[in-house]
Amino acid sequence: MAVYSRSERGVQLATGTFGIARGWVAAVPIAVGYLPAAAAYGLVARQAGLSVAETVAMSVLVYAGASQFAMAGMIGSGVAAPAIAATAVMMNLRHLLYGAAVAPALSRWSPLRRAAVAFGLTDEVFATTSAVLPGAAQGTLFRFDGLLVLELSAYASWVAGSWLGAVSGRRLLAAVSPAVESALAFALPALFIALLAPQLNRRPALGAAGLGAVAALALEAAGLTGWNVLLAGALGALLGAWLHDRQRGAGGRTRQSRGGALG
Amino acid sequence: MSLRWEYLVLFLVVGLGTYASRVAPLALMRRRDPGRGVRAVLDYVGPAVLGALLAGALFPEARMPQEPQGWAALAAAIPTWWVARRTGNLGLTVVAGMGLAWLLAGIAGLAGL
Repeated sequence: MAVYSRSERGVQLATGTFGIARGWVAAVPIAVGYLPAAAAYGLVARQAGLSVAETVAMSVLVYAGASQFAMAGMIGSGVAAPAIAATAVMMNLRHLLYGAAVAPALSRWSPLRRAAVAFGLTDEVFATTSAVLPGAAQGTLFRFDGLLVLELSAYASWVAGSWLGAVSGRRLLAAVSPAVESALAFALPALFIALLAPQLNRRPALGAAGLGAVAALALEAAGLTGWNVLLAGALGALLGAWLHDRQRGAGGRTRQSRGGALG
Repeated sequence: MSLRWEYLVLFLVVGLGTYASRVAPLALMRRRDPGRGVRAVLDYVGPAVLGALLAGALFPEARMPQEPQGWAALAAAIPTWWVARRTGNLGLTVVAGMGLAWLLAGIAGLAGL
């Protein structure tokens, strides 16, 4: 299991190497959460009129959960292809933030390796990776094979779940009790909590997460569903950086005044 | 197992657009240290995005849950948060959270909610 250690930067994944073993361990909750979500997508896609092959092809080629649900819905409603494509790509612009946040930790990798891991940088993979990033800044070795194992496991789970949902979605849902369905549906929120809660030891992180949450809901309520995570993430990060800067400034002033009193 | 070409083209276009948004920052930001200001902002992207994703997961369509399952998730989130803070263990937190959601949904079912 991933182990957190307390430090001045809050709580972070224990330093060391993020290799194959940690990649596998980190992949388990994502894979468990993806299976039912992907099966639900498979069911929705079939109801929208896509064949099993088309349902799986979308998961293989697009690999972005929320926009796949939206695309299936729009296909079912007969929306024109250019409008579907524009909406789905717009919904995925939030990934720009993820790549930007991860980029410094991967700066020593070859362009080919960075291009390879970019494909699997989904919400959940980024969430998991972001917990390791502070450690990466302090010397954690972020290995290519570790990230690749994490991403491939998540990808395999998403594609397999899509196929399962497309082939037997109705029977599957009928066989699962509502309580078990609730537990499976809570896997991804639980993962987000597991990754977020230990990071909130400092005011800037708390401010960033709080504003991110509130802004995401406000933007969604305002109808900006495709943009809410991107904008809320950017706003929250800016607030976090501002609070961080203020805290540093206040610390500096305190040290200065103490120095003055002693001097 | 039919695969209509117009859908295949659509999936390819969206797939390429999605990949472009994932790969562009990794391809363009090659400097190990992008500077103190940018670094400070990037350091808080993780918590900010996680906050946004968690809020979206617990309050679908930015509303209070409309069904017992959603309420079970919301109620399970609080003790799950406690487990995460207390143990700092990723796997244990996820398993505990799923167990709590199962338990609360079961209770809601027994109560006829």
